[in-house]
Order: sequence, then C-alpha cells, then structure tokens
Amino acid sequence: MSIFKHLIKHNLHKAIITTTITLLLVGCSGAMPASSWPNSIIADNNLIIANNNAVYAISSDIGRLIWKFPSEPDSMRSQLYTSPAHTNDSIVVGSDNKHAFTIDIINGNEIWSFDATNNKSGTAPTGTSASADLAFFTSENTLYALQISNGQTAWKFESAKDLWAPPSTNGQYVFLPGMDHTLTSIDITNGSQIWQQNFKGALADSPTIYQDTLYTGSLSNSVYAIDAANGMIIWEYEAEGWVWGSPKAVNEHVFFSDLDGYVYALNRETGREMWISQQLDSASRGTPAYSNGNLFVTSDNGFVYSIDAISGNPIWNIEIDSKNADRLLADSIAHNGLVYITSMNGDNLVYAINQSDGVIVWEFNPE
Amino acid sequence: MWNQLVIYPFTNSLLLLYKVMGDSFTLSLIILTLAIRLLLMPLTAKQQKSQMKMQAMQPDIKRIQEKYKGEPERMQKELQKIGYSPASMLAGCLPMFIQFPILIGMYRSIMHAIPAAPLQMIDLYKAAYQSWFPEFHKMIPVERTFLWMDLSQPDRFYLDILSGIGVPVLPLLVYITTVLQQKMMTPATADPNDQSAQMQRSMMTMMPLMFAFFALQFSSGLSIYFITSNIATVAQYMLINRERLEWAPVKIAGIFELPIPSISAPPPTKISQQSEKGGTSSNPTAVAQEKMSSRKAKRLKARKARGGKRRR
Repeated sequence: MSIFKHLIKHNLHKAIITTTITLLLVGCSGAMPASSWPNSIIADNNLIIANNNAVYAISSDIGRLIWKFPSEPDSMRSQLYTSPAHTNDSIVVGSDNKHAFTIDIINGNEIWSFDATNNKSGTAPTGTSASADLAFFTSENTLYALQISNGQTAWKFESAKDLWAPPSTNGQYVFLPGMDHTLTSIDITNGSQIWQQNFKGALADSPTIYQDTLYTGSLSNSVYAIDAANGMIIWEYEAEGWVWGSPKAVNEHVFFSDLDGYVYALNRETGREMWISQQLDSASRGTPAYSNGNLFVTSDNGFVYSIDAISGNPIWNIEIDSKNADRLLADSIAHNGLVYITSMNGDNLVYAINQSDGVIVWEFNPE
Repeated sequence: MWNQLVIYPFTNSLLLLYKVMGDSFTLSLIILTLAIRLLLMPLTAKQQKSQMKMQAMQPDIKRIQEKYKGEPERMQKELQKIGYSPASMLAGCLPMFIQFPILIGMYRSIMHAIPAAPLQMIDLYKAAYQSWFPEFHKMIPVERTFLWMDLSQPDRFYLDILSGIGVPVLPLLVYITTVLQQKMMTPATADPNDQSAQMQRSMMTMMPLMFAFFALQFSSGLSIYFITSNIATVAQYMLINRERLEWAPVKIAGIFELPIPSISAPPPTKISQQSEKGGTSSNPTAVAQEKMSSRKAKRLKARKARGGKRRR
C-alpha cells in the first residue's frame, strides 16, 4: 500500500499527462482514415484492384497474384482508392495525395506519373477514367485530360466544387459529374464546355452511357435519364435513399440500388418502375453486376445478394464475413460465371463467388 | 452507443447550426463550441474555484507539511482539517477529463459533418437525422472552406513568396491561446519544488505543445474548436474573478511578451488571516514559523487562563 502511495505521490503528474495523451491518441486514431473503398475492374482477363497503398493484378480464374504496384511501400502512392481505368496496355490510377499513375498492364511497372498538388499538401479523393488517347484524372475541383503516351496535360477543366468521380466518355464528349450538383458535357478535343445540366443533388459517381442517353444517380434520391446531345432530362425517378453508384443499363432496363438498401428496376426508355426489391440488411452503394438474367448487389454490412432481374425476387444471399467486419461498398463485377466482390476491413480483399449458387470459389488476401 | 450518444447529436447540431447560420460551417463550429462551454460551465467553474481554493491554501499546506514532517498520519489529519485532500485535488481535475470525450466527439463529428471523402459521406448519410433537414440533399456537400482554410484538412496558409511552404496559422494560434489560458488559470504555488508545482510545470509545457501537435495533424475544424474553447475559458475565468483582474506581461514560448490578464492573489484562508494578524512575511517558511509561534503563544495564554481558573 505504501509503495502504491509512493508511486502516486511521485508520479502523479506523469500519470495525468500520459493518460491525457493516451486518451487523445486513442480517440483521434482516425486521423488519416481510409477515404474510400477498394475498387476493381476486369482488364485482359485479369482483375485489377486499387486498394489503399497498392494496385494488384490477379488472375480472374484462380485469384493468383500477377503483379503489385508499387512493389515497395511508397508514401507518394498511398490511398489508391480510385476505380482503375484501362486503355491500350496501361492501367491508370489516382492517389489521394493528388497524383495519377499509369502502370504497364503486363508487369505492373510505372510508365509515368502526374502531380496535381500544385505545391500544396493535403489530400483529396481522385477519379480516373480513360479514352483511347487520353487519361482523365479528377483531383479537388479540376479535371485533367492527360496524354496516355507521356502524361502531358492535353487540357484541363475546372468545376465550382469538388469532383469525386471520373467522367465517362463516348469518344467525342466527356461527361463530368460534379459535387456541385451539375453534369457537364465537355469536348474531348479541347476541353471546352458543350452543355451543363443542374440537378437537385450532388453526383458522386460516373454517368452510364447507353446509346445516346446518360443515366445517373444523385445524392438527392433521384435517378435521371439525360439526352447526351443537349443535356435535357428525359425522365426522373425518385428512390427511397441516395443513389450513389452508376445505374446499370441492360436492354430495356436500368438497375440500381440506394443507401436505404433497396434495389430497383426501371424501364430504360420511360423511367417507369418495374420492381423494387425487399429491403436489404443495410445500405447498398455500388453499381449492381448483371449476368444471365441475374443481378448481384452488395450491402455495407457484408452481404452479397443475387436477385432475379426480371421479377426482383431474391435467389440467394451470403454473408461474406460472419464477424460483420466487412464493408462491401465497391461495384460488383460479373465475369465468366463468377461475381467478384472487393471488401474493406474484412479478412480478404477479394471474393470470387459462383453466380449460380453463391459459393465462394476463391479468396484473395494481399498479406 | 458512442455514435448515438455523442457523435450523431454533435454532427446534427453542427448541421443544424450550419443551416441556421447561412451555410457557414465555421460559425456553426464556434457556436456549438460556446454552447458546450456553457453546458460545462458549472463543472468548469467548480474546477476554477477549486484551483483558487488550492491557491489560497498553499501557505497553510506548506506550514503543516513542515510542522509534521516526521508524523505523516498527523500531517494528513491536519491537512484534512483545513479541507485539503488529494482526492479533492483530483476532483478538481475531473472537469478536465470530462472534456476529453467531448473533444474526441467533436473531432469525429467535424469529420462526419464536412465529409471530404466518399467514405465519410456514407457515414454522414447514416449519422444525419434527415427528419431535421427536409431538403438535406441541398446541403450536400457542406461548404467546408473559410478564408484560406479547408476545414477538413490540417491548416496550412500558402503564400507565393514562400514557394510551397505552408504556414500553420491555426496550430500557432492553438499554441498561443492554450499557453495564455494555462498561464492565467494556473495558481501560483508556495514552493516551486512542491509535487503539485512540478505537475503544473509539466502540464504547462506539455499541454500547449500537445494541442498544437494535434492541430498540425488534424482538420482545421478541430483547431477552431480549440481556439474558441480556450478563449471562452479565459473569458469565463475573467468573469468569475473580475474583481481581482490584473494585466501583466507574459512571455510566450520565450520569444515575445504579451500583456495577459492575471488574477491577483486570492484572499487568505481563515488560518492564514489569523497568522497575518500577528505580522506578515513574504517568505512562506517565515509565514509558517510566524503562524506557529503565534499559535504557540495563544495556546500558552489559554493554558495560563485555564490554570488560573483551576486555581480559583
């Protein structure tokens, strides 16, 4: 007891300071939290995944690692959360510290990098997409069109507010979604504005181009069909919650999900509601995947659902991680009989699931 | 639980104030900080009074500690008699510790309310009481810039002549206001080698540095919370002690002097007053000796008086 008293007497101030610092460090440990979620695409039959501090290329059939970029940890290439873009023999990715990189699709070597920091520190979400000759890179409120061959700026376009999603392109025009509630059509050759349409809410993901129509969700619960030629709204549909992910346009239908956990099917031409699914266990952010009449959607709490695309009836669902640690926020990808799900916080980064019965075929863990 | 009890209410209060204040997140942060300070006022006032009481007790504590050096149990009893106990000292620190969950809650709420990245935006969707905001989508994204600052990023002020070097203006202000607050509110101790004096010195050095470090690392919004909170604390202290307010120059970081308000010595305790009647000294040891001799004399007088009565 006397030792205890002695310790308190002589170390009280140290104890108080240590406790204070510990409390603050524990409480503020999320100082540099993950800004987004892992994203993936299929390129040359491989799955390319950008996640946190690396980009991985893995074989889509068995989940074997082919290359990793960068091969060594590098702070300049941290927080690589953008959806990778594929063009010719390159992969384009962006990092939250305002850099874009192109990577050789064969071996994962860096071809060139682009610095958009303007000598200022800080982070910002970035987006990447590509056409045949240009890589599009959004950082803060600027869209950069970069020459695929050498990374030189072809032109740039400034928006009123942040740009969180990369533009879509039909080869002639670039359609840029903005957090300032606008969608802008830009001439791909010189970066000049063709038209701009205002919406009720912010646009956080790229519009889907199907024939001559654009489909976009918004953070105002609405989904829009827009004439790509002049920006006129063809129809508007109001969902229950925010529609973040790009809608999936297939034949006569447009499919999407919302942050209230519903999945919707609309008539693509008229915007008429075909069906609404039962409410999922939690929010659904990503673009659904479609294959052979089935839709595959994910939920924030770690579930994957297969839904009949014609009727909206559930087919199967699985919980990726029973510990409920996973957050499935990325777009789902359907390819060769499998559906690929990328996960954050879970035991594995990628799950390849059999489309027909929901059985996990392989998992990929970068560690 | 933590989200429901602290983070979501803070986040929604920030958003509501943002709406009321004409889409100014800085103003909403300042008002919420002041509201929190107002709610904590009974606790912080108690802390400040406890500090004043401790300051007033210092001569007596010193006297008792010297007098009963070899008798720890007696020393404890005597210290208790004048109202001093280590527990009461720690109770004085309690409001400070209560502020930490609020600080952490504020940080997380700021990150929720001004999402600078997609993941935080999804979390905001979960956190927002959308029934409070009929046109919630119009508020999104919340305007997070103010003057040169992006409130979601650590503060750096860039000037062309500094070629890419950002000046951390808000962290510097956090440091200065924390030093001012501590200099003003820390009671003077009778003995600089005393344990509590050592603790005070450590706190006075560490705390401003620590808060400045946090301001350097975390979003500018948190720095605005620190600065507003520090200024509010100083104002509250000045208000409570307005009758004994004095302005004195104080060196900040050993570089420049600022006249800051300080509180003159508190009124002495009853015991000290008694000793002062028999003569005063600026030396605490001398004061203690004087007090002791004056008490001895009183006791002798009393004994004599009692003895006289008995004889009668």
